[in-house]
Amino acid sequence: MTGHVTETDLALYVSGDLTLWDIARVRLHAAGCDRCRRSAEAYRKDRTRVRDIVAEMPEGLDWERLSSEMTANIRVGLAAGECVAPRRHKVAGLGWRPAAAMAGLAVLLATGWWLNMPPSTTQALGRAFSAIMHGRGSSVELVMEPLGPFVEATASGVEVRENGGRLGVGQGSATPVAFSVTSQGSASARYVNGDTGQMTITSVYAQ
Amino acid sequence: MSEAPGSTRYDAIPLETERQTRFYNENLRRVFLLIYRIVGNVPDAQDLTQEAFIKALQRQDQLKDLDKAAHWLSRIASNTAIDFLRRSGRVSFSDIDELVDPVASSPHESPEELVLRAEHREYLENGLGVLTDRERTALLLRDVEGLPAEEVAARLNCSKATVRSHIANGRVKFRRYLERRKA
Repeated sequence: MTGHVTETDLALYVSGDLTLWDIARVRLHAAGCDRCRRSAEAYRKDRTRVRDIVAEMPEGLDWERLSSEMTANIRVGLAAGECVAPRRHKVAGLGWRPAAAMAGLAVLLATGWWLNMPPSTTQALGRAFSAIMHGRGSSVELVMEPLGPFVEATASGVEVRENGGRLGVGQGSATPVAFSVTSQGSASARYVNGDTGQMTITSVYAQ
Repeated sequence: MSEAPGSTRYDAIPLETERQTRFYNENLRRVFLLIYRIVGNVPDAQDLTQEAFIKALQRQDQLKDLDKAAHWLSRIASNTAIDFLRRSGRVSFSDIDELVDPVASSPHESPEELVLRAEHREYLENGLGVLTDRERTALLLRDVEGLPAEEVAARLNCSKATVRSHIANGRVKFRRYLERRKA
């Protein structure tokens, strides 16, 4: 070693704030140099001195009084924070009154739906419920007899049935391609004639 | 809740649990001293300590692990002090400007020893006063709080190389001050 370690390196060496290479370099030099070793030791002691100074209260300060004052101010600050903080709204559970009102409404709607159903439907439902209640058979067949025109699209054509009568539009040997039935009471079917390739679209509306 | 004169009723803090009360008791003095050493005067240190604790106690979810909470509180405290220094430009490190009551003296110390102790403390405190705010803050965070250089850099919002420079300069200046005074 031709020179001494710099003051900066010595100051950083004592807290391990050098690279590993520099730490090894300084350690090696200090092992053989009294001056640098004493400097490093002085910096090490200075770190302890700083910790000791900081741990002491400032001269003449009444810590009891100051800490009481801070405690009171912190209490006020926390209380003020509570006042201005956004309220966390609790999701209120349903009480019995709203639940009772909703149950009543549900009964009303169910009753209205039942009363507006076609009589044959309600009769069929009634027979089914009766069978269930009396345990007749392991299965109950519910047959719905629709009232009014009934439109059905099948492989042979589109058929309208009402009050036991039926009217159909057949397609003969045509190959059915697609059926569609709408909730408004109509049926549509597309048929393709396998020989001629002609497509026929049949739509029947029930009104 | 009445407070006896001269006593500190930490349980007057509206904390919900004993753990939170213990957190407050264990850290108040340490945080105050850290902030005081950064900003250099008691009134500002008092305000900033209160601010730091209000911030911390409003986040009760952070107080589950008290060791981690203490480290987190230190970060809040040093950031609060550093932000204060930035806002004010420069805070001069002056001698204590508030003498409230005479400090209680140990019955075992002679008057000469008391004077020597006070002089020694003043002499060491003045040594910190020759540092710049950033050098002193870096030194406090590194040597007193025991933070690694990376974290000191994060708190001071600078690079690790800059922090090492602050630490080195701070230590060298402090050493030279002590050597001058000794001479």
